[in-house]
Amino acid sequence: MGFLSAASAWFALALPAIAAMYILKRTYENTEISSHLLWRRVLQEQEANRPWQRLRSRWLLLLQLLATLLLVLALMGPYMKGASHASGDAVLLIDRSASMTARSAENGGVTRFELALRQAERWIDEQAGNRAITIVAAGALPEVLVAKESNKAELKRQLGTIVPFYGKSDNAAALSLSDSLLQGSAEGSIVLFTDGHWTDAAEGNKLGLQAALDLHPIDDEKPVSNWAIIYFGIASDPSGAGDNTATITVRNDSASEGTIAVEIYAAADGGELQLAGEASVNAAAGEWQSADVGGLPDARYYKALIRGGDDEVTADNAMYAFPSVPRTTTALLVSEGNLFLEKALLLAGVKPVKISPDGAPPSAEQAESIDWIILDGSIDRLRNDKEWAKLLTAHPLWMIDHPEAGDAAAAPAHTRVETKDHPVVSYITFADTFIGRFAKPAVEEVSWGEQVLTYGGIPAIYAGVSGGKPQLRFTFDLQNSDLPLRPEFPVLIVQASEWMSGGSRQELGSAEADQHIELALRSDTEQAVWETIELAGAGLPSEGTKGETRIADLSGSGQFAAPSVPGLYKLIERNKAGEATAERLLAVTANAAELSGLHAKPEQLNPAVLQGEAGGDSAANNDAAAGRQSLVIWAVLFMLLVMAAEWEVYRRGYTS
Amino acid sequence: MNAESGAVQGPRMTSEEALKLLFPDASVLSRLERLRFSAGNRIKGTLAGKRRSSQLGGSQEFADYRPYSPGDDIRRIDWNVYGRTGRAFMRQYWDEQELQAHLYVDVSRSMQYGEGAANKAAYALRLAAAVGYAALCAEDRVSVTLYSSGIEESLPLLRGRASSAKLFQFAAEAISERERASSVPDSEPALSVSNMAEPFLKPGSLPRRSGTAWLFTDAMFEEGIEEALLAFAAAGQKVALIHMLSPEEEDPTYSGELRLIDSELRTGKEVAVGHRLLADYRAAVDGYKEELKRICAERGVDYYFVSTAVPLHETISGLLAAGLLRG
Repeated sequence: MGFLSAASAWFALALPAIAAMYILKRTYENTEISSHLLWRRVLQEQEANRPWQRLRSRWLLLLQLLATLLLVLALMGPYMKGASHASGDAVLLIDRSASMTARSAENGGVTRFELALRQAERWIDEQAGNRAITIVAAGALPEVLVAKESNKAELKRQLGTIVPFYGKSDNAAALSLSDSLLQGSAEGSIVLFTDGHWTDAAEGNKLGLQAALDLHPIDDEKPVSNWAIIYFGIASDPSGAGDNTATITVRNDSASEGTIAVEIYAAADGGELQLAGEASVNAAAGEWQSADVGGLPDARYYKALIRGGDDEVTADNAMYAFPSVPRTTTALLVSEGNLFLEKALLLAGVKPVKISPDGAPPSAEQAESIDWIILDGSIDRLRNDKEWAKLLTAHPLWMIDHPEAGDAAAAPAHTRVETKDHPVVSYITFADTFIGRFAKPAVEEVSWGEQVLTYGGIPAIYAGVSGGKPQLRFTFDLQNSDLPLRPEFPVLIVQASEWMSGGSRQELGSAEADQHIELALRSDTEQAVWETIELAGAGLPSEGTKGETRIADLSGSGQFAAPSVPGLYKLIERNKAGEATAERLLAVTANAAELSGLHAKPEQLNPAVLQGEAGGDSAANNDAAAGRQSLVIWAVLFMLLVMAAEWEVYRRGYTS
Repeated sequence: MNAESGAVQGPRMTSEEALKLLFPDASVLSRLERLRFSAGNRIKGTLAGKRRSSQLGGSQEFADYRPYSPGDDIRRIDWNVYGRTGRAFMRQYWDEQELQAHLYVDVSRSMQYGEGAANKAAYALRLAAAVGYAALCAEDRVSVTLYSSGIEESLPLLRGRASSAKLFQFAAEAISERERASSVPDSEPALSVSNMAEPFLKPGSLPRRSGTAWLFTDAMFEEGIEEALLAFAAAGQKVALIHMLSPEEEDPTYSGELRLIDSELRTGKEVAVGHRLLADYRAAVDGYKEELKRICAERGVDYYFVSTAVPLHETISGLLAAGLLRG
């Protein structure tokens, strides 16, 4: 029960006034008469009410108070929210696109998404107990959470599991799915809770719906003020002095010009975020503006955060960036001299540390700075050397055979080259390349990898991971081929260097929420886990917490779904033994299209309803009004009854 | 009023004062001298009177013949009949006796109601004195008894016109005594008199000889009206119920919110008086009168309603017209 005019409750002040009047009331005039005999005949039923005599003195007062109370009640305009008479199945469609995460101070800091859930719960409460309700959540793909359920508790529980969707929502598809779910249900209706900001509103409006559409606009589709980071990039200092520069572009989607503070945080490897620089950006309404922040230290990743301004959407206030060039790697080149390789490594950004295979292995101090090792020949000899073996097993190893004519060598029958789809050999064709001799290592020696390139039917390049460390093996001598003279040689060396660097330092970059990303996992990876480093969504409790882990689905071939809430995540790969073999960072952002143009009035969502001629929208409104039954007439009727009773009491003189 | 206040002072009032108090207009007395009770046949006095008794006796009025039986007074043999038939028949005559009239005046608290001359008790005593005087003038014997919850006071049988002074004095003193009592603010909660028969069920309260009994009352009794009338009839009385109501009781002019206090029970009843309620009340009064009339008719009792607003001489004319008094 609700009241249309709760302010009328002030009229209840009349109650104490009446009581006061009773207290101040003039007493009855004493008049002596000979006998009650005759009066009693007029004032009948005196005897029958004797036990109630004590009460009588208050009857008039009590009845009057009751009558006044009812009058006040009638003035307050009570109404009963009766169970909606709508029958037939219903599909509850919740818009959970990123724009729904806007929170305005008017709503007490509650997001539109939460408002929509509350309204949906209320709507469920109003429905008849046996109405079958299906809940559909919009998203990249519409999702049916529960189908034809009439248990309200279960429906509400399912509502609670919905989280905002920060990717690109296909609302039209959700609407279309809802409509088809109602196929065959004559009186079914789609109940849509949305803020009206649809990136695909035009597409939605083209739909011809069979079922009636009951549109519940959230927060009256008011314009939303927003400041967003639309670009954040880090330019590394070429000199390597740790003086990196960040460029941030900010868009002002509010009604007025304003200034916001931009803070840049830097996180060192394994360290905490530390404020590294600040800037202030002024932008006119609807414009974007860039700012540079220099003097940033080297870091694994950077975070830009905007503060202040008329900002109602928090999902686009933070952005992450990784240094554009990874820091220089150092490789130990164990070779008797290979100038081509040396130069190619330098081109690939690898600093080669040359050492002769005849010499002693480098000291532990020197080995510290080495990222990986290239063995250019003398593989077996060094492997059998105790000190060398220790060093070799501790680092990723790139072996290059120097096959001699003999049993272990083979000559190719033809020059046909077959490559596998592998990062090391992408773009590599070995066209016009002649290689005369190949080493044929034993099968168990190369069991760690796969043949990614065969030359004339002989494996030429093995690539793989051994003990969590990348391994490469070229079964031919570079210097005995004309490969170093080919233009693809530097490319091969760059890709090989990247492979040797193992991706463990290569971050995953950034992706949109729930976007499918392609990423190569290590071959020994059994399980991959997303660890939440930071969340930058709307901050709803259902979005999860910092530090929690979620197992990634590895069933898709190379396609992985990015986490669904904006923020920074770490993909941790684990091998069979459960050891973490690699970890890479992924910055997840909300879909920019969903969050842009929120300040403009959204396009009117009005899909054609083929069935209801009057239009589902107005029919739904009528339905809402009909569910509200006015109780004023009852209050008035009851009051008249009370007043009749009061008159009867007055007339019979039950007042002393 | 001066006479009254004077009467209050002295222990006894003179007959002149009493007469003035009772009958400010003395002309009514001369009219009363010509009236007498209509008493039916229940006349059984002790002395010879002017009334034909229901007994046979020595008057000049022939009643019947009866066969002679030995021992009869031979002076009463009708010799003419004996001459014609040869058989002796006795002539019988009606006896003529005086009438015993008993006047019972209700002086309960409810009877004290009414202003001045319209006071019911005073009016009842005046009326009793008037009819008593008429009876004395008609050579009948008269007694006056005042009762409320019991017999309060009584004047023994009086005879002859000379006794009228005694009657007047008794009535006048009773009036002034009641007035004095009612001027004192409610002394004690009076005993509730709700049964009319109660005083008459006590031994010696009813007349021993048959005669006529007049009850002057406002009949404000919950019960016992039939019982009382029956007791009088059983005592051989020809009963007349003189029902008295003051004008304020008959047609009240109250208005507003009142607390009506019962003069006998002292209980209050708060009433908002309106036109409709007054109309209902008047209907109730009429209904009660009708009820009393019916009760009386069923028991051969004469009923006469007196409003104390009506002057005494008009009431006497009314009694005459109703046949309770005869010219």
